Amino acid sequence: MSVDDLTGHVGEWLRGTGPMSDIVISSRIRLARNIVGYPFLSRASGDEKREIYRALADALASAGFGSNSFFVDIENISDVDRQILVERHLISRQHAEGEGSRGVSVSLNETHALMINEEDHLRMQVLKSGLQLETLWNDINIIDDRLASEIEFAFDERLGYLTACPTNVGTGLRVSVMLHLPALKITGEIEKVMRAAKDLKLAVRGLFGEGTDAIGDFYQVSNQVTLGVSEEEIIDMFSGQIIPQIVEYERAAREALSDQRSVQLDDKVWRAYGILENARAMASEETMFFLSHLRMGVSMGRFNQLDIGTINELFLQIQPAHLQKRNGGKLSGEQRSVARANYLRQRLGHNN
Amino acid sequence: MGILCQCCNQANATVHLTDIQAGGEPVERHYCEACAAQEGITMKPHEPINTMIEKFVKMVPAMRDAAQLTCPNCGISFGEFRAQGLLGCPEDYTEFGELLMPLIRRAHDDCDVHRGKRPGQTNDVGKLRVQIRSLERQLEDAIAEEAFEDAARLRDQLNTLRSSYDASKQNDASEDGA
Repeated sequence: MSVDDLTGHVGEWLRGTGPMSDIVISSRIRLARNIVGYPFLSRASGDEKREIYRALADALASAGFGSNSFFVDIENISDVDRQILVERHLISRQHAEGEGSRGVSVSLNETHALMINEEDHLRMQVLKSGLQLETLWNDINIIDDRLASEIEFAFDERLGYLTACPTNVGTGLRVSVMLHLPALKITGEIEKVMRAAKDLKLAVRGLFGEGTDAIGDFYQVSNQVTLGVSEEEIIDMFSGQIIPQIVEYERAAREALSDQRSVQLDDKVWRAYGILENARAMASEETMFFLSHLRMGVSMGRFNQLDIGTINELFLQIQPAHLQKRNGGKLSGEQRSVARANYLRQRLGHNN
Repeated sequence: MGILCQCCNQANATVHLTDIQAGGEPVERHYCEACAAQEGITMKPHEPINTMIEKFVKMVPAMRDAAQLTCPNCGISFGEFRAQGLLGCPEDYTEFGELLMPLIRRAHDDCDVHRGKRPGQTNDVGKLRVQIRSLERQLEDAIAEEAFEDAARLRDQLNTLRSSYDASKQNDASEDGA
């Protein structure tokens, strides 16, 4: 199993199944851990990074993460392969662009990805489609326990798990839920929701995390406070209050659009479909924009020629590295636009 | 032509004061610069701004010394940490101790004590906490809907869970103490 084998299909988290999957694309939990006896990565030498890498790779193997997973040596793969992993949300941009020994262990169904030598020695993350935070917490808690019996993590009685950045100290836990909120965008209420989220000390980011825009009406909502609250409390707040509330707002906005502006709504959906199935050159951002409208049409039951799973897959397959991988070589921006339009025409069925 | 200094009656007055007398009557006084200095009324000419800043920084030596404080384990200084936002090693949390705490509290909604999982902890307590909160929510809903039979049942369940929660917390505490 290698990066090449990934590109033809989608990971579990994009299947469009699971609770509230009309609006919640995916849920993700990550834990930050560091092993005792080594400096954090900003002060670690090349040799120390190699030792940390080896120690953690060994711990993963003896904890039994070899059988249903594959390991990728990030330092020694191509840029396109690193980018593939970023587009599939298996590693972060920071991890892709980092230096020195680093790697990731990925489960075959892509529900877990354990990054070695990212900002912390170990960043474990689990991800699934829909709102499934309790299941994810159960899974990652077990992974954490299994690893903790192999290797000692830096832990302080008062401050909890010690992390390179003090903003992650304590639980080291970050919950991120990716939401598709096109109706709130159209009705202009999205700003209100974002402001409310910020008042609750939540971070709101775009599709690929920190520093990215909310292209395609995708918003990632995550906690910032990691100290003074337990893991269960953070998860409970997300799955019991924050996410259901935002989902309810989006559903109300969708209903209002159906009731009051149904022609304009259908027009948006069908225009999007018309462009996606006919255009000859499509830039990435514009594709995301139209796919978002199409996805809204599908999840509202106003467009039945495609299912959510297919649309989710298109969002992934039109990303630059996936296009280049399929093409078998590097493409310029302009060539990518043509390849993207060709791919969409092929997938949307009509050979026009 | 301005007012003459009331002290020397020669130079122009440039310092003007208004005193309030005992009876509440305002009385104006006018001095030239030399006489005002002699009378101890004026301050020395202004210091250059950089001297003032330097003095201010010396007033808070903690600020200057903090930036230079260095972790003997990894060699990072507190100033370097502030510049890059990342610590050098786990020991920094001890070495920089109280310097870090205000930053930590600001990032974490005023909290500074870990309340989550510990390595090797069994998670029964955490599971109970989740169950209790879920029941509390259901109970609130039941009361709001005036479904009092449900509410009574939920309250009984809650009481049972709460007592086992308290018991397991005490177990934890005694294990911690051991």
